Amino acid sequence: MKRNDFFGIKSLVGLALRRDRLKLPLWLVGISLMILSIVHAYAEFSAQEMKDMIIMAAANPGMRLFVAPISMGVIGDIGTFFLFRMSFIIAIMVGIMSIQIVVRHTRHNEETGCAELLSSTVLGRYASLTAALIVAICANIILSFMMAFAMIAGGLPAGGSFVAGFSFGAFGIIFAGIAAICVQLSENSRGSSGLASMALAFVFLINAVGNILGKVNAGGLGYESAWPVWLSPLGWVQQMHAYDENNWWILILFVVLLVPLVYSAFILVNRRDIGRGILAAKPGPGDAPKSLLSPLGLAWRLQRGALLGWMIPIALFALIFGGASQDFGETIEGVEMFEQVLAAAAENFGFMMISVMSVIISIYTMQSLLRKRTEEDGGPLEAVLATPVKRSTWMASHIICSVVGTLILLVIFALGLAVASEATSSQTIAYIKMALYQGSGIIALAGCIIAVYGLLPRISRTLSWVVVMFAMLAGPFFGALLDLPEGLQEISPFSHVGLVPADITASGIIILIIVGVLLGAIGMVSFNRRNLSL
Amino acid sequence: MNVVDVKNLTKYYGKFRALNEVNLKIKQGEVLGFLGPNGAGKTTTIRILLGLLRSSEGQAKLFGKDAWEDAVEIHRQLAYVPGDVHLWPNLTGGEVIDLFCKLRGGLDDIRREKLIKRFDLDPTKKCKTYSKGNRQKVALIAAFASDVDLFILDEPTSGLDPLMSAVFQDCVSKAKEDGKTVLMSSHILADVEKLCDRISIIRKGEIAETGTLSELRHMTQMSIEVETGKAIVGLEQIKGIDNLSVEGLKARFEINSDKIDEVMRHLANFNIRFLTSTPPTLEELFMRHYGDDLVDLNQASERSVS
Repeated sequence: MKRNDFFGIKSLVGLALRRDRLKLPLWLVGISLMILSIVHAYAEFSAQEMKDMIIMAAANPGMRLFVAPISMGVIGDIGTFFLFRMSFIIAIMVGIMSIQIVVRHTRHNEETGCAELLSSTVLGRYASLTAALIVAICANIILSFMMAFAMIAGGLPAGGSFVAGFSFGAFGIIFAGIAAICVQLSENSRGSSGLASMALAFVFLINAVGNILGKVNAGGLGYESAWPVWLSPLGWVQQMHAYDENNWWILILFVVLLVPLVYSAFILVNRRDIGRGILAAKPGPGDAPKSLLSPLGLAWRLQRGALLGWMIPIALFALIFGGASQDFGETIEGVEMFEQVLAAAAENFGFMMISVMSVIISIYTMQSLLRKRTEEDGGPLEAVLATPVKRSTWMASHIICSVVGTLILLVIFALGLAVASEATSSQTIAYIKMALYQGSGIIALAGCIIAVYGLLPRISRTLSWVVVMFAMLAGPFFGALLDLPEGLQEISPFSHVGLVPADITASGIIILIIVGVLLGAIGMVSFNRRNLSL
Repeated sequence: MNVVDVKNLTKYYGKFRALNEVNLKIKQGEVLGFLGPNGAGKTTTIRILLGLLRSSEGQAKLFGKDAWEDAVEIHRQLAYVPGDVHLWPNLTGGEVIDLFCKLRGGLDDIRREKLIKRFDLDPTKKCKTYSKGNRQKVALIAAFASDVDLFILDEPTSGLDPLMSAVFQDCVSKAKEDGKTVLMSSHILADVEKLCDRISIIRKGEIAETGTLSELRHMTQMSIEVETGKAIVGLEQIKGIDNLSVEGLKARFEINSDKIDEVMRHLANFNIRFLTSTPPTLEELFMRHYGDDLVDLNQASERSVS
């Protein structure tokens, strides 16, 4: 690397800040304000209320996916309680922010051709990536301070607030590094974001495995994580135990990880051409197979790659959680007071995991439904609809692929879980049934996303994310943790499916499906009647 | 019956009026050139014809059917090449050609192979590796390999090299011989001049003029250069003469077609030794319609200089 290779960083950073003059402050202020308002709201809780909620969540493996470990001695403190409930959400938001910044100022630039124009000016080879990383890292450092100040303003102790703030900032910086690699690997910004989001999900799930396998404290008063959390940066965030042990030294781990991430990204930049990925495109068949030559065949061809990309991690986690379910039985035996609660939890562990995973699989459903928007927005849809293909045929083809793909993922997870937990055949069938039942919640959500696409195409991407995030947060795993009013929780389709077989009713399932079909029909009709938004 | 029949077509994007009472007719077997600068409304008109956008007012009919209501029926008989060809990055060119032909109703293998050879396309490459011109070739091959009655081509040659442009022109001529109808938008005048029976000029969302090339030429001026034996006088008194410059025995001027006779009689008095008359090129027609924009631009730049 020569000095020239970095020439022009200053102007590129300026350009990035200019382009993000609205987005970036919105992220920073938005996250800080959210923290402030939540800390503020938690100040109202009594120590007993907090204790009850901690016991409820710590004893429940499904909920433990989403809460941080907390030790017995600090139960009743607002700070630790806040992190116990919020650390996962804040980390995810910071991670998404970092991914967006890096992808936007590297791969997205290449995709639109801006990078080509820029590179023809006096600009070093590494300038673009370096500038994006500088912007992302600075944003995270500023955000760390802002988050710390927000927590302090909410009345929390300063020392712990800075530990917490910087733990999240460091997490964000790691994801800037991960995104820097992802944008080298994939050829388009959608693929890069997808890859980085997948990494985020991985980091989250590995940490979740550690938390689920952890040891519940006597009386259900919090729990300690098991070793797998050390494999995940999210685990590092939580193991810093701000407001409690304040483990500053863990920040070193983030730095140690960041260096190889950034270094490999720079090596990859050098190995590929601008606008291309790291793997050269291979030639393919000169003629189309018969299976491609219909709207449905085309939709399947376009979606199968993403489906495959999801199948592998879903199957992997099914195996991990299935294996964990056997260990889970062992971890609870020592606890006497809560034996009954925990025994029930152990029995329903598999079902609970399927419910949780269905919420995560709904992200696949959304992404796959949004594929339609990608086809439309500067894509080949214009040419396809200029052939005798009906708009509704085209749309239905894509929806069928999305729904079938979703059901395939659900069943794969249920099967993997059954295999790894050595379930009996009747148990296996119960798992698969449960997975299909959960599909009804996703279908209702899918209907909503289709309606959004039909009615408001230009903002359908953002709006779909909002819809899915809301359904997740208001759903059964978060709604109770976030203390949302019941009315809000009721809006999420996931609140109506039922987490364990005993809660599931035929009428509930049928209503969800009807809602989904109706909303989907609205989306279809409005798409048939609107201008293409090209 | 007109294959394309557009009456008073108006389109608003929010408050912006993209099209204002556009009228367009194309007869069976005719090749119509749709000329206009960037942003004049060519693509918007075409997308309304394809039922991809909804018109705000007026009507658009193809084959006597409504462009919006009967879009699917209409599309059985036409092939469309977008101005900006977007293809699926992970499909090969060959796959895309097959797909579009199949969606249009049928695939003629022999014609497909012939076209691929003539356009010199490697159909085994993934679309993401194609340049703009190659993506355009894929769309053109898919169009001309389809058995349809109407071709709608939005700036079809903007990415092609001269060699491929010639192949394209051949394809259009062949389509015309077979009695097909073609609507072709362009701002490349040479293509239009060679291929089109009639031309419609659109600017700022309005049709400025429609007619055959010779009709349009009649409406504009001839350039005349003349050398005489005696010094020319009195030309400036003839009405309809523009840009007159007289230098000794040579004169240059422009004149409306209907005044030619009068001018010739006048010039005959001065012992004509040499005379050329040039009909206006399409460039000049074009410039006449958009020239005032140029004048505005020049004035603006002059102002900014001073």
